[in-house]
Amino acid sequence: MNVEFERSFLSQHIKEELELEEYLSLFQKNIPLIPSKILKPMKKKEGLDRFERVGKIDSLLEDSHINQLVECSRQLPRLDALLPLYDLGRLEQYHLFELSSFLAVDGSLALLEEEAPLDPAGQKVLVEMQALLKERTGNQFSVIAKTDKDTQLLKALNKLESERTEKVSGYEKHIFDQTGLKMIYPWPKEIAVARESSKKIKACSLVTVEQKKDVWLIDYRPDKELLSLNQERDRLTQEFETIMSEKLQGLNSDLHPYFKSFAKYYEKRKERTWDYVLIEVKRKYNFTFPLFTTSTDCRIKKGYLWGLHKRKKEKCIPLDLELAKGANVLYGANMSGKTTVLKTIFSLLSLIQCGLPVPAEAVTMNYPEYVSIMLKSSGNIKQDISAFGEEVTFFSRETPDGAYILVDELFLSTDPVNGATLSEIIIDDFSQKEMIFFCTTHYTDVVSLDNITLMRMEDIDPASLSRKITDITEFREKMPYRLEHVTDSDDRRALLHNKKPLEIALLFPLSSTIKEKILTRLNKKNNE
Amino acid sequence: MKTYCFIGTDKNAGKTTALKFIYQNMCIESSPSSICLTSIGINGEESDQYDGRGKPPIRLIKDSYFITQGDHLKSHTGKYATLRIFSNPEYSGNYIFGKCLCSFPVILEGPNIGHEVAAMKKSIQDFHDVATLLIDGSVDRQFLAHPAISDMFYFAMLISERKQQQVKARDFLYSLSIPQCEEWMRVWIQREKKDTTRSLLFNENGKLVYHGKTMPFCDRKLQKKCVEMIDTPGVLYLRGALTHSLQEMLSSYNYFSIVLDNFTLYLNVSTQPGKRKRFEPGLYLLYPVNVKTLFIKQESDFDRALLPENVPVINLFRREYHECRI
Repeated sequence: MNVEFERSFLSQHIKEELELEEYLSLFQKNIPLIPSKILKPMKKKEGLDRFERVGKIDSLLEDSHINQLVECSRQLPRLDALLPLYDLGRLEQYHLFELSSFLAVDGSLALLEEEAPLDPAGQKVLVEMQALLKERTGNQFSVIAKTDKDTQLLKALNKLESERTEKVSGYEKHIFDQTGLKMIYPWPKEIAVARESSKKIKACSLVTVEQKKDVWLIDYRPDKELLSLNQERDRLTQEFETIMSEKLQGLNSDLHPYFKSFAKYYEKRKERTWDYVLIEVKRKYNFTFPLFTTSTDCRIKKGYLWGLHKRKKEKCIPLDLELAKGANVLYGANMSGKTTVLKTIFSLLSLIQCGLPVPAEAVTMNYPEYVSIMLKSSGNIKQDISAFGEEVTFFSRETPDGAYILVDELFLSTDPVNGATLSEIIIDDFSQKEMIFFCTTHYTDVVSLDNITLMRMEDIDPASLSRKITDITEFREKMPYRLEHVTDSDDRRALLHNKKPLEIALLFPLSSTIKEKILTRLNKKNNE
Repeated sequence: MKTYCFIGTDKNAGKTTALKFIYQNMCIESSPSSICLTSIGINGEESDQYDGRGKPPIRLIKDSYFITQGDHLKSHTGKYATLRIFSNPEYSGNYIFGKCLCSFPVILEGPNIGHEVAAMKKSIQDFHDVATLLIDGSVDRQFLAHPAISDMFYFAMLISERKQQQVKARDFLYSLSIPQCEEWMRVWIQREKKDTTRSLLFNENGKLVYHGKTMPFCDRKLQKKCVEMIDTPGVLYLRGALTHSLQEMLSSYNYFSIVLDNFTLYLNVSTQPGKRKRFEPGLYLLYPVNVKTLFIKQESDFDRALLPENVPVINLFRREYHECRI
């Protein structure tokens, strides 16, 4: 099964950043019924219905049950090419076999689905179809059922064929006895002109002789008996074909009334099969289906980026986060994981839009019908727009209520003074909207805004260190990569005196001259 | 289950005639129910090159098995039992594996792709009474030469007055005589060979000098590496046609051993008669040709000394032929 996002949904750049291909590969099962799945974002009603449906099935089925259902679903033949022929009443004999195979496997699935039946009314239709096919076919649906008369006709044909074969063998023997010539297949045969047997060959009534250059072409001259057998064979064949064609037509007519119900059921079966795949993957990897609220907020418990988790394993710190309606601001030191937080949120939202289970312990939110992200950009030459221009354009769009707007390093695209001013204005504006705005920032001015939910990335706990950190690798390993809400005013003020970038810079292999100057400035700040 | 593949050097070489002949004799000597027939798919050429006919039907005998596209069974309702369907997405077409309930003529059209043929073979082996699979093949389907697909070959060869066709026949007979490579060459090659491999160049110590993933005749890097080794021993494995340009280039590599993956790689080249340089390197096959019988259709005289030794040769269209042991 090839699983991919609709092309217009996410840019290739974002998909690569978030390693979404890796995540989608978990769903690529070998199920003929669904050879491919194109995922696209769903509108609210569709999304809510989808998760409600799959969540209900998930709650009703045991683990071993789900595995059985997926295994059984693998045996379902794909009937997409057959359905239009069914609608036109043009099913052939082998189509009946294929259709019957589907009905049989679906019947087995229905038995396994007692706790969560797919479509009881639709199932009844399938049972009737199966009964009809059983009546009109034979030998496990592999042949068209024959009356005694039809069977006799077929026997007569076979008998005739045997007689004919015997007759031809008899001719071969007769010709050989008369001429010494082995007239076995193929014919005509070539023989050299100067042959002792040439007189005998010419005299034989069962062969024709034609001279071509230096060879003779010898061909059969079938006698009346053989011609008669051929004619009789043709006649019986025609009769048999007519009878079988009429039977097939009749079966097509009798099956047709079931077509619409069957076609609907078939689509439901495909949807349900996909649901089983989602549930199987969800359980195998301990993912979760989101729960939805009517309030405009979002709670994520132990969420993570699949690609990051695969690489870092136990070192990957899952995200615990609560986003409130309005403006949510994440402030933190460089390399503390702010952008990863933003990407994790966006990744989870995008996957939920497409009806997928997400890597998290729990997610509760209002349905993300509209999600928009602004990552750090260097502008767009094609569109003749700078990074700043892109960012301002981003905020020029109309956004509906309930939207999720995510921005990384708000207005880093311009000078710090004006960037801070614009950030304050934008954040203030979003703080009054009926949506969730989330941004990361370095601008300390923003920290002082009243009507925002402020969060920060935790610093390295000094108590956890036995000695001073001396290089960047060690710094990364000690970083907690957790965020916390900042509610206390003292804590807010402390953010205004942030020296972290200077301290982090000292961990890099800069020249000693530069490091001395940084230290001088740090000491000056400490004294202030 | 044994698989016998029928290959013709030309469109009118008598391949299908040979198939029918062998099929009929097998039905007499063993039983129709032990035989399954199929054909390599139509390669975009619906009609015969020389006389405009379509793919000819083959008259199947009651109780034989077959594999063909569903479309070819439309007028044969009731004459067969459907046993298995090979369809999308695992297969590129809609192939029906069936058993004949009576004798009837049908166009056989099986898959065109190596792994599909291999998968079908594995699948029908469940039916234990199928002892023999006969495949009506084509010389340009290189996958047929793989031992996983074919156990032995029946070849049909046309001998005519046309110069181009004579060169083809000569090359074909020569390809049947190319020996299998030595065991140590085989070990080197199997060690490095992957599905995507098109060429491998080893030095005399078995060290891999180059691993090519593009067709050898247009692989500039391969050709450059070969030039660097022109005066030193080496083994060059090719899984692409030994084209005239490649032959020209390699003809003076005295110290090289060229190992073709299979004999078809010697055949799929232009047959313009012309002067050819003497080919100095040793030429071998990784997978040898197991020839069951050579069927010839003779429209002009030819040197019978060119025929391979120890291979039955039959001209079905003439009065005298060697007995064919099936």
